[in-house]
Amino acid sequence: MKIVKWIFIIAITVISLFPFYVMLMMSTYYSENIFKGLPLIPSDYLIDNLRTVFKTDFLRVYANSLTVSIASVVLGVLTSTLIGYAVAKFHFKLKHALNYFIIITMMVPAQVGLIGYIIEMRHMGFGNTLMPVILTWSAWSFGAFFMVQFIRDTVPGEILECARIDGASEPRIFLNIALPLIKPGIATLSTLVFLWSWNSYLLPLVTINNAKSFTLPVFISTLGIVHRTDYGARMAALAMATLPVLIVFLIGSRTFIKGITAGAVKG
Amino acid sequence: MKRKRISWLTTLVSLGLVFALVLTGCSGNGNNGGKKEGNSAGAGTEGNTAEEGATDGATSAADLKGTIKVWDWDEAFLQRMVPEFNKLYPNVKVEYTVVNNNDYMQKLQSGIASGSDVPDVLLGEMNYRGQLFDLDVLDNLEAAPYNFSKDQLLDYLPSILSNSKGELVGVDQSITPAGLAFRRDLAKQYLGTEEPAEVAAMLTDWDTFIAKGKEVLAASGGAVTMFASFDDAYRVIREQNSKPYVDGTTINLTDRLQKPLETVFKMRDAGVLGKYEAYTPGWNASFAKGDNLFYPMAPWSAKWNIAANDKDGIGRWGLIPAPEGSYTYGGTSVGVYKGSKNKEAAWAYINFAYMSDEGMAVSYKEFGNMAGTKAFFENHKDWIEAGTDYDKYFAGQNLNKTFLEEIIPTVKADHQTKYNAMVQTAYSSLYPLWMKDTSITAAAAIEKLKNDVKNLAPEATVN
Repeated sequence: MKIVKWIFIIAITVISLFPFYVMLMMSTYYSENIFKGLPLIPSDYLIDNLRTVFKTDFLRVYANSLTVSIASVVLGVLTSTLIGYAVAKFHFKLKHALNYFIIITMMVPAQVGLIGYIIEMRHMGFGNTLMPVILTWSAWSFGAFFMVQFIRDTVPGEILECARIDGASEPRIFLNIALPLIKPGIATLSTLVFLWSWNSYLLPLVTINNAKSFTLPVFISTLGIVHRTDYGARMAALAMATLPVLIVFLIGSRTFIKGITAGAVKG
Repeated sequence: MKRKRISWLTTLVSLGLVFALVLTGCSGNGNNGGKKEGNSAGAGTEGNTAEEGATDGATSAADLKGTIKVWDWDEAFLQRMVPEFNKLYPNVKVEYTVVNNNDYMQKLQSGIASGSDVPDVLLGEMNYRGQLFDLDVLDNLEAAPYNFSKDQLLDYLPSILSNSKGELVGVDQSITPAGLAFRRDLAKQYLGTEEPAEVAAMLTDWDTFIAKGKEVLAASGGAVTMFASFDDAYRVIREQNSKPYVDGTTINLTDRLQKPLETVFKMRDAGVLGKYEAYTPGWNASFAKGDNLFYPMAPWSAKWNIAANDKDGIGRWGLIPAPEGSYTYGGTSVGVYKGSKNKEAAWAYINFAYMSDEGMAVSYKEFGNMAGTKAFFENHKDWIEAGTDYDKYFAGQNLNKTFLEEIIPTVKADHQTKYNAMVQTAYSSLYPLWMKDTSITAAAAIEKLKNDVKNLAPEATVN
């Protein structure tokens, strides 16, 4: 039985890692040689592909993407957590309306509001900066919805009540009592925001008109264009772009899985 | 309780402020360039009008000031051309953004709709050119301050560079009259000759082409095809049969595409078309692989299709006019945005990079681009005679001379509207099935195409 289990696990692992392996192998090929067969053995073109990538502003683009993703995580998680805490644990007028509003906003596809969002950003003076790509996470309905559910399930009202009776201030209750309880939720949300903002294509494409502010996905799409697509160089850039995402996921995976299964089983 | 509430609020506000500060700080890193708004230098000068162009006195060129924005996909060209342009126009700053041509329209439309950044110089690739022209955002180049005349262009060009109102809204980035490139080694083996003139004489019309294709297929044991893709054959034959087919909101699709599609379907049924979809990695690799004889070829193809895909292919290729006449293959128009605040500077750039003697000296010799003006061919016969670097792939055949003497004279081109772009979109999603499923006939294909176009353009009458 154990053998079957291991064979199964190994098979799944190989299947999942195979595309990643092929991406790494492709990055060692001259673009036109990639498709002559399945590239399983490394070729000798890696240095040239890397040269193509680094000849451009790759490091700055990388820094842009990191800036955007980290700032998005901080902003998105902060606002979502505060909204979640307020809606889940406080009673105020129109609370239910707010909750419904969050859910309704989730149903509207982001593309619908795109033009309005660009106009808004332009009037705020953020045209042609990284701000539109970051600020979009400040009113992130999925994050708010997720935190409302998560906090409702994991933070018992009684504990907050006890803390109040003991004389703790509201910020202290939030920081010292609620936050430690919702760490898995925050980790999950951070991982998600990081992944999504790292891979985001449409928003940076339409809001950033300056090569100096390009993020990785937009930049990679402009590598080796005009009638010839340099897949080798693109794969090399992609391999490097995937690395931080992989690291973030490895660090967050334990809490991430805890987070997405939270509330699945009611105790 | 009240005190508590106040301290809670203060904490929140201060937290918010801290993060706002952090964010502003962060974004500052990547954005210093972005805030340098252009268009500050005023409206250029009088006297440096378009038709005087770049060749004119350096005094007036130096007087032209301002910043222009260009969205282009060819970064290598920009890196080379912008400094050249600045030698003559030192006070015009060209800010360019590299935009993938597949994303160009989406980015442009969001920019226009939101009133934010729209470049002064706009490029219209053939696939979406009609859509761009119908947006009505390009200036008429025959009016002031450009005063360019369409008579200066090669005869076939005005129709693909004008919008539905008949206004000339662009010049050609590089002309794209096209013939067929062929593999000399395969031609010698299967057609018995590798001489372009003899190959051309052998293939007088498409029926002969198909008959020869069958012979090649049989002789090679089914390994060698005439065109690598259904789409290659379609592009050639569709454009060869060019005629106006959009009249207001009426699209005469059957009239326009029946004959081309029937011919291509005949090729498919004869088995002379390869299995690739055009411009996929497999198609690119087929140039070097040697399982296909002919490819569509415009002047830009020597660099971007032949040299890029078959780097060891020196001496391996030949160029002939297509059976039954020439056609246009791809191409990009370059125009000025109506809302541009620096129209003179934008036009000076276009004029310099795509038409002037100085610009073309770089553009022709290093990039193989040919200007779409009659003057270019009259004034630079010596350039054409001298050949280009890419001739070596064609065993020394003078490519541009072949284009000029044998291909340009019979070229025709379709007028472009948004409906042309829609027909192309509908076709692109349908043809992969047509090439695989041989039970689909040309008549059924046209009906399906008409339906799909109708879905894309409900307001139009599709015949």
